[in-house]
Formats: sequence, C-alpha cells, structure tokens
Amino acid sequence: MIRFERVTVTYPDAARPVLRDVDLYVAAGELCVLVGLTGAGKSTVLGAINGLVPHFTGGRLAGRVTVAGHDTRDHPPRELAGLVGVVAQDPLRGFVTDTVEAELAYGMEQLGIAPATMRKRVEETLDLLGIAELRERSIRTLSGGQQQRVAIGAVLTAHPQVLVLDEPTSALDPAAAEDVLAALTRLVHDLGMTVVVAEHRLERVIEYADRLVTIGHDGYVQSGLPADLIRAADVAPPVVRLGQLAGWNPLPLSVRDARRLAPNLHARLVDAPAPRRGRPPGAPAVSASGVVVRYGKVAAVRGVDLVLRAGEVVAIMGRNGSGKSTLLWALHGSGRRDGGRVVLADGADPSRLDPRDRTRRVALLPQSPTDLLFLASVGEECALADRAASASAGTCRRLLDELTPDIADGTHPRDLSEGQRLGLALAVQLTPAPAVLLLDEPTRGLDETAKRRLTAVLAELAAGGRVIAVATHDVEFVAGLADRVIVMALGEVVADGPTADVVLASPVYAPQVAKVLQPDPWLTVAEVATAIGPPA
Amino acid sequence: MPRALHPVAWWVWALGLAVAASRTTNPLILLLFVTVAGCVVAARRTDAPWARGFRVYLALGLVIIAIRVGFRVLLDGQHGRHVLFTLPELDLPDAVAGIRIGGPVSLEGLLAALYDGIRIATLLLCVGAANVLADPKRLLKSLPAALYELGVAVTIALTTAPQIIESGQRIHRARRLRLAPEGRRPRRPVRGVLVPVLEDALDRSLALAAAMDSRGYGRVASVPRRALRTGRALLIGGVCAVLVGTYGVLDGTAPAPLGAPALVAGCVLGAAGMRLAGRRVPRTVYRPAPWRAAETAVAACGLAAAVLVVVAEHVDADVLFPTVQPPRWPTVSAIVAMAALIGLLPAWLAPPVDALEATPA
Amino acid sequence: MPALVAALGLAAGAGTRPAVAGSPDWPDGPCTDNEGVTVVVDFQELGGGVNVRCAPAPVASGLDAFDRAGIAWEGTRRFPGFVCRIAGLPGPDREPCGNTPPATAYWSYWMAPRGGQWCYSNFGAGNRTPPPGTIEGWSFALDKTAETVPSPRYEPPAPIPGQPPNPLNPADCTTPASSVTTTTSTTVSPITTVAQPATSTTTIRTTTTVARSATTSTTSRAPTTTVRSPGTVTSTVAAVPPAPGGEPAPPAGWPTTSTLAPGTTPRPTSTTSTSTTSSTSTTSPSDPDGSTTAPATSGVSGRDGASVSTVEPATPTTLTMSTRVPAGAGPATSSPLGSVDLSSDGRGSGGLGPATLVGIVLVVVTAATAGYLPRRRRAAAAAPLNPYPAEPPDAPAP
Repeated sequence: MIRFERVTVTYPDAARPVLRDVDLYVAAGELCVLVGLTGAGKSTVLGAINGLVPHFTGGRLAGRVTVAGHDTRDHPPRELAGLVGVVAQDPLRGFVTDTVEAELAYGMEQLGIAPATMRKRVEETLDLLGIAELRERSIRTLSGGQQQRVAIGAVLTAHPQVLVLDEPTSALDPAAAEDVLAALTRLVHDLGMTVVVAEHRLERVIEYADRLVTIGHDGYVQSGLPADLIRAADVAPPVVRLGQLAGWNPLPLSVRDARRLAPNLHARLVDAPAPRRGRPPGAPAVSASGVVVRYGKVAAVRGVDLVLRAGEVVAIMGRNGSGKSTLLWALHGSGRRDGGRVVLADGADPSRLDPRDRTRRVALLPQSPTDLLFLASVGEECALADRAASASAGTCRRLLDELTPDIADGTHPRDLSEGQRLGLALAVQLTPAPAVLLLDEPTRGLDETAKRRLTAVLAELAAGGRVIAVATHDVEFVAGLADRVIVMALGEVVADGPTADVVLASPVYAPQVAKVLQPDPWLTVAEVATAIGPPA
Repeated sequence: MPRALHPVAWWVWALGLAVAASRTTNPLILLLFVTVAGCVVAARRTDAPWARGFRVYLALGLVIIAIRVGFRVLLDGQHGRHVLFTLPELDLPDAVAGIRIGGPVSLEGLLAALYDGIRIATLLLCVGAANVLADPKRLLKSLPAALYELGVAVTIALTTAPQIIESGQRIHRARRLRLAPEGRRPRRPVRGVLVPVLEDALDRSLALAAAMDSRGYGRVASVPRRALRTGRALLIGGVCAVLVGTYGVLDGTAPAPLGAPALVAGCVLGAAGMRLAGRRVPRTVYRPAPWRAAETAVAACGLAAAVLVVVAEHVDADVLFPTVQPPRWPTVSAIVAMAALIGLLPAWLAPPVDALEATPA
Repeated sequence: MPALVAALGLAAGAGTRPAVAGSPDWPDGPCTDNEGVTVVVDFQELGGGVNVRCAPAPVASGLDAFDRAGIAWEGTRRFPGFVCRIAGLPGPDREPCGNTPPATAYWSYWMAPRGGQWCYSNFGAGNRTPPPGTIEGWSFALDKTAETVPSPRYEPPAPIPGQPPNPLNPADCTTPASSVTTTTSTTVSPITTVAQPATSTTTIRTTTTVARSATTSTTSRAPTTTVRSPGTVTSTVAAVPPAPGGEPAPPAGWPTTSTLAPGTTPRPTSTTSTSTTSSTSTTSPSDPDGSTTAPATSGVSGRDGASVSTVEPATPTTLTMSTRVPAGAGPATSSPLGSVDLSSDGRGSGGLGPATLVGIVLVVVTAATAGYLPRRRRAAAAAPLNPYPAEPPDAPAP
C-alpha cells in the first residue's frame, strides 16, 4: 500500500537531511507505529506519505513515495485526499467548521461527493466512532478525546485507504487515550484500513502494532516486526525494559504477555527489600485550605485542602477538566481564587505579593511553555531572565544546559523542539531560584530521553529543598518521580497519599510494571533493577 | 414540516424592508417596520446562540438615535418656533461661522433629528433581523461557486477569531509569570503579548492550511479553456457595465441607455460569468438548503413592500415625509400600511422551526 | 417650559397657525409704522401674484417675521430652518421638502430698506434680524440662473414721513449693481472725503425721492434733510463681497444703464473725486426732473471713470427702472397685489387625526405580538437543545 524507495528528505536551509535512504513498505491493512526521538523525523515520514512533504513544507525529496500506486511527486496532497487521511498533532488547529456534523461533511464536500452519499457516510461515521450524540455540538466545547475522535471521523468520511495520525494520544488522559486507540484498532480490524501512527507513549499502542518503524536521529530508518525491533530501540515501553531486565525471551509487548512471564520475576523479588520511596517531609512550604475557584456559575475547584512540604514532589492527577490546572494557578497566586486561603512558608499570601516578590518564591510553568517566550533568540531570553531576577549573568544559561544541552544562543525559541522549549521555559522560571515550583502538564510532547532528563532535574531540585507540584497524566512519569499523588475529580480531592498507595489502588493510574507485577508494590523498572541487584 | 428557510430568502425579505424604510422619514411607518421585523423574528428564529442577538440590535438602534439627537442638540443652530430649552453657546472663531455649538434647542430640530435617527435605526434593525433569522454560515455556503474561496476565508475567520482571542488571554496570563527587569515597568507589554499571539496565529494558520490541503481543499475541476476565457470576459464586461450603469443612474444628465439598462445588463453578464467561473470548483454542499415555494413567497413579500413604498412616494409624498417645521402629527396611508403588513406575512409563510433544526450543517 | 407647553398645545390643536397670543387678522399691505417688518411674498410662476403683509414688532428673524405676520410656511424636513413652502406652495407633488430644494426651484430671499432697492440676502432667514421698518421679500425662482433670479415685483414702500428709515445691516446683502448703488459705493472709499459722499448721496437721494414722488406723490421735501445723514445711504450700498452662506449665487450684476459690466460687483474704490459737481445738484431737490443732478456723472464710477458718465439720473423713471432686473422679471412697477391667503397652506390642520391613530394602533398591536410570541414559544419548548453544560474555560470537561 505504501512504499518508500530510497527516500532522502532535506528541508530548506537545513545542514543535514532529516531522512536518509528510507526504504519502507507498509502492506494494506497494517497498523504501523513510528517511534523515534523528538525531531528525528517522524512527522517528516508521515508528511511524505500524503505529499505534504515536499509540496507543502518545501524541501527536497529524493527517491520515490507511492501510495496505492500513486506517486506523490505527481500528486499534490489535495489530489490524494480521497486516498490518505491525515490527523494532525493538534486536531483543534485543523478544524475548519465549528460543529461536529459540518466538520464530518467538510472533507466530502471538497471531494465533490453527492449529497445523498454524504448524508449516509456521516451517519455511519458517527456510529463507528461513538460520537452520535455529539453531532450538533460545537467542537470547541468537546473534550480532548472527543475532539480527537471527531478529527478521525472527519477524515474517515472520505473513505480513505490510509489513515495517518501524528501523536493522537499525547494530550489525552489515559481513559480518553484508550477510547481513541480502541477506535483505531477497530478501524484496522473491521475495516481493513492501513493506519500509520507516530507515538511517544509506546506502552499504549505497541501491543496492537503489526509493524514498527524506528527512526534514528541520524535519519536512518529501520522497519520490522515490533518484537524484533524493540530490543534495540531508543524508545521502549516499561514492559519491554522490564523484559530486558528480567531476561525474558521473546520480549513481551503488552502487560498480558508480560504477566505470563512474570512468575519467575516474582520469585526473585520475594526476598528483595521494599523499595525506598519518598523523602522525609520537611516544613510546610505551601498550605492551602478551602480553596474555591469559580468561573461564572461553574466551580472549577471546590474547597481543596492541601499542604506541600519542602523537598516533596507531588503529582496531581485526574481527568481533563477536574481542576488540576486551576488549582495550580490558584496556588501560584496569579490565577483566580474566589475563596479559601493559600499561605507560603513565611505566612505570605502569594496572591497579595508583589509580582516581583512572588516570582522569587513561586514559579509556575504553564501548559504551553511557548507562551512565556517572546524574544527572538535563546540568548536574549536568558539575558532578560538574568536581568529580571538580578541573578549573575549566565545563571539561566547554566540551568538550560543542565536541562537541554546543545542549544545555540542564536536559535529562535520557536525553532526548538517541544522538549527544548520546555527546558528553556523551565530555565527562565528557575533563574530567580524560587522555593516552590509548579508545573502544568510538562510531559506533553516529550520523548523518553527528555522525560528522563526532566525527571532527573526535578529530583535534584527536590533534593535541594524545593517543593515541586506537577499536574500530569503521564503515569510512568509519576511513578518514577513523585513522592505523593493527589487525584482530583470535579474540583475536589479524591485521593491524597504516597505514590504507591494511590497509584497501585487504581487500574487507571497504575504503571505498567505495577500491572505486571501486581500485587507486589513495584512501580518502576528502576526499582526492580535496584531490588534484583546487579545482573548475575 | 419544520425546516429552516433558505438564508438568501430571509436576506431578500430584510433588504426589501430596508429599501422601503429608507424611502420615508415618517416615524410611525418606520416603527411599524421595526415591529413587523420583530414579529417575524420572534415567530421564526431558531434557538441557536447566534439567533439571540435581536435585542442587541435594538439597543444599538437606540444608541444611534440618542447620538443623532445629541448631536442635533449640541451642534445644530436650526431655527424653530418652539424653543424647548437653551444651552449656553460657545463662541467660535469666524472661520467656522457656519457651526454653532449650544444655543437654543427647538422642537423642530429635535424632531428632525429623531426622524433621521429612527430611520437609520430601522435600517440597522432590518439587517439585524436578517442576521438573526439566517444562519451566517449557511449563507456563506449559498454563495455562488465562483465566490467559494471567499466564503471559506470568511468562515474560517469567524471560526478562528475566538481562538485568537483565547490565545491572547492565555499569553497575557503567562506574561505575568515572568519578571520584568528591576525598577522598570514591564517593558514591551505589547511586544510581549502581541508577538507571541501573532506567532501563534501564524503557526495555527499553517497547521490549518496543511489540514485543509490534506482534505482536498483547492481541487480544481478541469474546464475547457474556452469556457474559462468566456467566463472571464463576461465577468469583466459585467463589472464594467455595472460601473457605467451606476454612473448613469446617479448622474441625471447621462443618456438614458447608460442608466438602468446598463446596470441590469451588467448584472446579467456578471451572473453568467460567475456561473461559468464556478464550474471550476468541484465541490458539493452537504444538506443543501432547498429553494421552495416558501422561499419565493418570503422574498416576494420583501420586494412587494419595497415596491409599494416606492409607489407611495409618487402618490402620498407628504405621508412619507411629515413636516417638522411646523411640527405635525405623522399619518399613515393605506398603501404604506399595506406595505408594512405584507412585510409581516413571512411570520406565517415561512415554515416553523423546531428546536433540532437550530444548527444544521 | 412655556415653549414646550405651547408646542404641545400647538400639536394637539390648531396645526400651522402660529400661536401668537391674541393675533388678529392680518390686513394686506405694508406696515404703516417704522417698527414692524413688511413681508412681501411673490409667487411668480406658482401663481398667486404678489402678497404683502406686515409683521408687527418685535421681529427676531426672517422666519419670525412669517410667524408674526401670520404667514404659513414650512421648512425642509432635514433642515427645518430652510424655507421650502410658503402658504403651501410649491405643493408636495412638486417638492417633497425632504432635503433642501434645488437651485432651479426655490424661494429666494430679499431685503430692502424703506425707499431703497431690493437686495439679495447673504444670510438665511433664520440667521438675521431684520432692522425694524425694513422690508423682507420672498420671490420664487423657477429655472433661473444666478444672474436672473427675480426680485419680488413690488416696490419697497417709501420711508414714513418724519421717521428716518432704518438701513439694512451692511453685511446682510450683496449690492445689486444699479446706478444708485455705484454712486454710493464711492462713498465708502476711505480716501475720499466725507464731504463728497454727503453731496453725492444727497443728490441721489434727491433724485430717488423725486422719482418716488412721481409715482406715489409723497412730498419731496423732507427727504433732503434725512439724506444729510451720511451714514444712511452708504449702508444701502455697502459693496460687500458676497458672504459665504450657502445661498445660491446672487445675481452678479444687474444689467442697468450704468455700464458696470455684468458679473462684477462694484467694489469700494478710491475714485470718488469728481463728485464735486454733484454739489450743484443739491440745489434742486424739488425739481421734478431731478435731472440737473449730474451726480452720477461724477462719482459714479465703480471702477473706471468712463462708466460713470453713462449713469444718468436724468429721468427719475429711468432711475427707478434701473433698480429692477429687467431680464424678464416683471413690470417696472409693483404688480397689483395677489389674493392668496397667506395664512393657510391648503393642508388642513395637523392635529391628531384618525390616520395617526390608526398608525399608532398598528404599531402597538404588532409590538405586542412580537413580545408575546417568544413567551408562547418558551412555554411550548422542549428540553434544552444542548444537554451538556458549558465547560469551565480552563480545560474541557470529560
């Protein structure tokens, strides 16, 4: 169905080609998963399937890409629209109309399909993706998972033979991600569609994949069966790492497979000492009692009581819309707070502080860190941060190098990758050395290496006496970093306790290792590794 | 059977009422048009959010009247026998001797301003009624194929404008998270918010363009060259004829064929040219709004109202233009009342709307 | 506010009759005193002849003169101070009076002092106060050009014996280019001595008076004395350049026997000079001819001396004729008075009639329906369209 023949892609003004000599074949009806580090070229491969690269993005493509016999050299993307459907990373940016039904019909209108056929297909797609009750709704009022499904539906109505998705579940909470993946697998299994997915969080999708394509940072691509390739891949789900650690063969790709191989690992772990988790709690750094935040008639946060202690890393988890972000902003002091008290270590109320003072004590990293960056180069941002915090020149640069090395001073912030931008924003916010650090969904769009680095940096900051609160969906990230987990729902705190207690009790928030090794309380591969000891 | 009327029918009705209203200054007649439009709106509007704005238009109309009367009170030095009150007069240099600020305010002057203001407000309300009754998105869909890209641009602007506002708010909120250098007010506040918003908007538009391209927007049907050339020639010729015709209509001394006939010919040519040009766009419409008898009836009502008022201008001129100097009570004549009541007919002629039809695709 | 009460009273009742308390009938004919303002209305092609009434003092403006003289008039709807109809003419079929009437059919506004000439006004009727005793004139100009606008076909009445006529305000009108005026224009020149003006004016004055006496048989003695006051005549002829005022262009020149070139407005010049000869003319005030006055010859020139000589006040009649615009404007003398009832405008009273009430009823009924319909809809409405509540702006709901 899709064939890449010796494809080399070089973007304009780029020093090196992004993809080199890619040879790839995806058969009809396969689910193909692309893995690779950020910036490695996953989006380029996806774009090349449909012709966006090079017709839309510019650049040079050497070699041949054919989809169902059509060469993308001769066909711009709009001519392949009936053949290939593309769902972008942020579906909200790709919506043309504002109601669900109109969006579903839009693609068909462009293709000139007869009105009667359009009608029929819209109804079918609504049923297939389970969004029938949403048909009159405005798209902007839908949840992330629903929007993602509408985006898939919008390209499905054209009845393409290939579906291309770029990180469909990165912004979704675990439950919504499951919904989307279930829809995708249903498409593959029932309709026989060819689906190509690029995903960071492999643990969700790898068990369904028929083919794995790994893209190295040098531009070379390897393709093969997941079980074969995952061994050597840079990016692998915890189950695979666990299998590597335990020496399982064949490597399990899903929790179910791993559980079958788990008994001997259980045996080895029976006598191992319990993992040491958490640090002894320090003095309270932020105390909140009865915090209420209202938007119009809706209460986003209802009476939350919370104490964050120095040296702690607290994860706040919950569905989208449960009030996590709102709570963080209220704790920071620059967001709305309609009731309750928030007190810092010395008794000050952050909402009443002068912004200058406040920034020296509490720092918040918003959901899209790019909002903080407005100057034209990394150097300028760092210089401004140093000046503003009255810190010595180079403080910000040092922090940046710790978080994300290899960023030149003259780069424009918008040219950086997601992880690099996050690093820059974090460096800027950390320059005044605040005692409290609040992060809102930092792991969105980060690959595993970046996540590891972020984990290390945050752990180090916590060890230095700061208190860190992170609102996130990423279960693995939480398992590896947090001392405490708070679960919120409908604006209230539903669970609050040490990570292991909260996370192990819930099937939604349990990490893969815990699911494999349950009922034993192991959260991460690192813990298991420590417990097993050096390999025999 | 409940369904939504074709938006163009509503617009023709509303514009007919507006034309009728523009040809009179009689406040009774104008108010009658307003209440007629209000009746039709109350009877036939849907429950969608965009359909609730008629009250806003009413408020806007009142503001317009107030501004007009206010200006007249302040600035106008018209003589009137019945002086209501006198404002202190400002001395102005002789260079602007024709303008008088303050001075006596007369009933006649106020009435003249009031009538004018009511007329402008009525025009506004007619357009507002059309906006409330006809879904703007469906109206854009009903544009001829030749103007399709224009319609898409407008639709996207309407859809993404709220997103730009949201991103502006988000970025503004994030700006407060960063410090400004010591001792200075936050420098470059505009740059700090405007630049990221613009960059965001640029990213967003690129993403949207890629998405639309992938979904097939911009496909071009193959049309024979000759047809294309003919279409273009017809369009240009039509536009020229419309220009000439407009000039001929407005300038009384131009020869007769250059007036209305040229205008009509230009419209016909332009329509034909647009038809031909539209064949290049191979798109279809999902659930297109049908044009049935009800649409024709509603449109005819609007046109009839306009025609009747134009006729009344020749027959009953002083009913349409009540004097203010000396002030007289405005009257209503049979023709004009009939025009207004014909404008009311669409409240029954248009099919009723049921709740689910609020936002058809 | 008494004015408001008066207005409402007016509205409720009588219509166009001006609410001047206790107004009696207005007899036709000019004012007999030097306080009131005479109003002359010449319907020209509209039919109705020339009609004259007196507006008793005090008269605040040209429009007030209408009201005090009991003349029904209408302003345009847009600019209520712009006179559009007098006594209902031109009618609504001819002129809807929405915007200002076109220059091809409008009421032109003139003014004259007692015993003087008609002079086209530079201001609108609402913007000037007529000096007591002067005459206001309205003449309908149909299809006339700026040069050929006709003045009212009525001789401004003579000054009241024993009361010096009040001059017009110099700024108020553009000088008609008659011989009389040219002579007097010289008087305005700064260089010439005062003495001369007196003489020349005297001369002219005498002649006119004589002429007048020829037609109206008033004594000619008294005027000489009045003439002496130098200020009087000069004011009548103040050659002011036409002021901006939005008025249609005044007739730039009056074809008269004085050869001031048509299209030129006489300007005050320094050439006065030879009016010394005029002094001789003073000697013969009572000379019925008045022809000995050779004043015109001397100081008449508006600009060039040559033209002066042509002015001959020799025949009084000629003189008087030269003040009229000969271009088909009408007979040299006043036409017989017309018989239009200036107080009515043929439209009946503008009170609160059945047509208005019907209109009000219609508006109220439709407004009530418009208000009632939504309530009925709400009562019959089903469950709300959108069962999902609005999401908090921070993050979308599940």
